[in-house]
Formats: sequence, structure tokens, C-alpha cells
Amino acid sequence: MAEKVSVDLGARAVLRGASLTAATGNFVGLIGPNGSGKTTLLRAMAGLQRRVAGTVRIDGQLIDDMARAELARRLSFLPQGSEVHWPLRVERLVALGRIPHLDGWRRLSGPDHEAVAEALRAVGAAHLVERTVSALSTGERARVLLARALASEPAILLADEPVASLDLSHQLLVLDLIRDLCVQGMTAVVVFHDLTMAARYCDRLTLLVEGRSFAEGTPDEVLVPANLRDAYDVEGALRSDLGVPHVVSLRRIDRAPAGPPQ
Amino acid sequence: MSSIALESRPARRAATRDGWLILALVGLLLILMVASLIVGRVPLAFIATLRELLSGDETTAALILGEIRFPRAILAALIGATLGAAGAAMQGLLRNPLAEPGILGVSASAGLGAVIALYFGLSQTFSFALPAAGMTGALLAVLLTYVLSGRDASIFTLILAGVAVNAFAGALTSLALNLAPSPYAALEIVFWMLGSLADRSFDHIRIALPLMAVGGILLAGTGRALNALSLGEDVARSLGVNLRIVRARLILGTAFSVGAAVSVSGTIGFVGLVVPHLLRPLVGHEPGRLMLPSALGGAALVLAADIATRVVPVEPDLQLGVVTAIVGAPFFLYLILHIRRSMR
Repeated sequence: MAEKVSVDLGARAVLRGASLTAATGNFVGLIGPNGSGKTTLLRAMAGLQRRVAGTVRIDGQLIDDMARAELARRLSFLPQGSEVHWPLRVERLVALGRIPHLDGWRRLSGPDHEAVAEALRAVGAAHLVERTVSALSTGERARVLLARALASEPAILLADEPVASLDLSHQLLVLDLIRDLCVQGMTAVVVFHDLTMAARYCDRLTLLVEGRSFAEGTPDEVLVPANLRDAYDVEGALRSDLGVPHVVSLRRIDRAPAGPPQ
Repeated sequence: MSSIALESRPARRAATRDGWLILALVGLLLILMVASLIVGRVPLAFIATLRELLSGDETTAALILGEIRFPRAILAALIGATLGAAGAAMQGLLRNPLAEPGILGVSASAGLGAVIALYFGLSQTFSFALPAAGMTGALLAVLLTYVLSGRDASIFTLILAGVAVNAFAGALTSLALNLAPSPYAALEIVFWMLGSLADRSFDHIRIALPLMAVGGILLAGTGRALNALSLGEDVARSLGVNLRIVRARLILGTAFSVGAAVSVSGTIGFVGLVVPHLLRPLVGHEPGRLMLPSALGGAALVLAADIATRVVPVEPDLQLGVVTAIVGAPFFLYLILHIRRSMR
């Protein structure tokens, strides 16, 4: 999908020719250490980031050639954090996800309400429908915002750490949900910090380091000790002795501070 | 099928509730409109005078009603509607309940334009010089704000540019006062800035209405984008909102309508701040649903304040802007304390 994308923020080159491909129906994890450009790459793929170089395509079509409304119908973007500026009612907040499907003055109708209710049910938040966003807990809010992103019934979901603020049970609920949607044909690109969850749920992983695609492949191929060492400065390994994969970090590797980038 | 009916119920309820709110505000507006026609220095037998006016009798009472009170009431409603809608628009765009119509410098600059016209005595030689200068000031302010903040301005830069324009317009207004040729000229400027609707005629409506209408058209239809902006700029864009166009519509719409309002009435504070704030909980805090009720509520508030300037027996007459500020500021404080819990 994204090919050789480069992005400068101010004078700093954040992405230097990063690439990421997600096949239809794949659950792709975007991983990498802090500051490696994960969020920037995700924003670039959503068409929100001015690129210095590189292209982003959906089904072979350049997103720059697509109308913003058309892109919005196909792609859903869920940023990190939970920015909601007014204490909206949950149902109305999730209904904002239907905006791409409302043209002109058309108001929400039956199918829209059905999609909103379905999205809330899917994230386990149907009981919150009458609540006000400002009165929700962090975890409830994160799930409601995910429901907003899913309410547009997107072909592609781009989510930036959607489970970072959730407890374990709700992490599993949300990731199970995204995986189920991928089985039904949705494509997901999700930024992860938790490598265990990434290894467990993703079909493929892209590992970013300093704005470049450092490794790409199945979790088994990407989360090898050499990559953990080179990308994260950590001695660790991908294990699966409990029946599910998990990443163990054993110790930090101290390195001489790197010189300035050439 | 039953589940569909079940799910669509809350939305219909919201729409009906907005309907009731709008109906109630229209009712209030009509009552205040009639009150504004009845109340004044000269007591009028309203129905009888209205009959005289409609049948074309040129009695003094009919003249007072037709040439003084009607334009004044209509102008009060128009200006109030403009301030209320623009306040709601700015609060929605900037996602800040403290935003008001003048936050980007439009009011202060329109005021400055009018003050310059007063200072050079242009308003005596050419009666429309004052509103014309005011509108020029408002449009220059918007241009300046745009230039200062750049084409792809973030909301933050926009607010900072507005602060700068506001400060500069304020400084030039003070300069005009400082260099005023006579104490009388200074007094005239000060009184004009206090805001008033006294002695306005249908000519003022004719000047202000076209620009207010253009502004209103620009503001209308941005509701959905304002709702999307509740989730931040990135999400709004990802939902298909063209932020550059929406921002331009909101800023230009505010400049046109508020510029026109300030040009004929002087600065009338707190209406654009208090009214959206007061009505927001009644529309589920949705910025897109807030604009029309705010326009109606603003119209009602300015009408009520203008009636107050006529019934409070002090000499010289109270100025409209003084009344809105004196009532508005403590009321706003009360609102902040009251609503603080739900705004968290």
C-alpha cells in the first residue's frame, strides 16, 4: 500500500523511504521503537501527511487521485489518544463515523443507526449508548472511539495503538474483533507497542527503525533475536511455550551513543 | 425489523427536541419583538397604531412605529442572530467554549474602521461612511489574520493571529482617542464603541442585511463539519471534511456578518459568548446543532437588552453594549461555575 514514503517534519526527516504492504483481509502490525515513524507512516497512509516522496495506493489507485469523500468511505483512521472536544452522547459520537456515507443534507437513516448500534455492540459498549463521553472511563472511551471508526464499515482500518489504554480482557476483546473483521475481508494496519499482542494477532508485521522499513514478514520472521537486538536494543526472543506466541525481553543492550545521522 | 425501529428512536427524539427548542426560541423572539415595538419613550396604543401604519395614515404614532421602532427591532434581531450564530461557529471551529465572534479580530477591526470614520468626520459628510469603514476594517482584519497564520494554519496559530490583530486594532483605536481633535470627538468615539441601536433606520438594515445574509449563507451548512471537528482535525479530515474550505467559510462568514453588525451598532459584547454557552447543553453539546438555536437566542437576547436600555430610567440613556456586558459577564461566570462539571 505505502511505497518508499518519505516525510519531513520541520527540518527532521521522520520517514526515509518506508514501505508497507497490506493484502486484502490481512491484519498487519506496524511496530518499531519510539520515534521510528510509526504514527507518521500511518497518517501518510490515511492521506493526512504531506509526503516528500513516495506513494500510497489502495487497490492500485493512488490516494492523491481519490476524492477525500471516496477515501473516507473506504478507509477509517483511528488516532492515538482520545480527543473528544465536547461532552457528546455516545450514540451521537459513534454516528459521526457515518459522515462519509451522508451526502449533502441527508440525515442519518435506518441503515446508519443499524451500523452505529452494530459497531457499539461489537466493541462491547452497547450499554453505553445513552452515556456522555466525558463520563466514560479511559477504556470505555477508547472502545467507543473504535466503534466510531468501525461505524463507517471501512474496507481498511488504520489504528494507532487502539489497545494501549485497555485492560487485558478488553485488549483481547478489541483485537479479537479486529481479527474477526479481517477474516470477513477488512484490511487492518495497527500500530503496536506490545510485541506479544502483535505476534499473537497479526498476519504480518512491518518493523520500522529510524524511518525505514527494517524488516517485514510473518511475526516468526520479524521478531527474531537479531531484529529485537538491532531495532530495540534488547536481548529477547519470540517464544510460544504456552501455546500462544509471546515476546520475552531479557535485558537491555547498552550501546555507545550513535553519532549524528549522515 | 423491530431492532431498526428501536435504534432510530433516540435520533428522532433528538430531532424532535431540537424542534421544540427552536419553536420555543421563535416564540420568545416574537414576544420580544412585539414588546420592543410597544416599549419606548412615547406610549403607543399598539394595535391601533399598527392599523394606522398599515392603512397609510401618517400620524406621529404611526411614524414612530414604522420609521423608528420597526427598524430598531429588526436590526436588534438581525444583529443578535448574527452574533449568536457567529459565536457558535467560532466555538465550534476553535473547539473552545471561550471563543466569541470577535476572537479573530473582526469586531475590534470593524470598530476601528468606524472610529477612523468618526475621527476624520467622514460620517458627517457621507452618512454611510461609518458602516462602510467598519466593514472594510472587518475584511482587512480577516485578510491580515489569514496572512499572519498562513494557508494551512492550525487552530492554535489562528487564535494567536487573532490575538495580534485584536491588540493592533485596539492600539489604533486608542491612538485615535489619544489624538482626538476635541473632547467632544473623543466622547463621540467612546459612545459609539459602547454599542447602541438608537436612531437607526431602514437604511442601516439595507446596508447591513446583504453582508449578513452572505455571512449567514457561508456559516450555514458547516454543521456536519463542525460535528466532525469534535474528534480533532485529523479525524475530521479522515471523515472526508475539507478543512481548508470549512475554515474559510467559517472565518469569512463570521467576518461578513459580524463586520456588518458591528458597523451599524458598535460593539455588543457577550452575546456571542453567552448564548451558545447557554444553549449548548440543550442540543447535546453538538456544535452543528447549536448554530440555529444560537442565532434565535442571540436575537432574543439583543432585543431584550435593547428594551432594557429604554425602560431603565437613567440620563443619558443606557447604551446597548453596556447592558449586554453588565448582565452578560456575571451570568457567564454563573454559567461557568454551573456547567463546569459537564465540560470536563
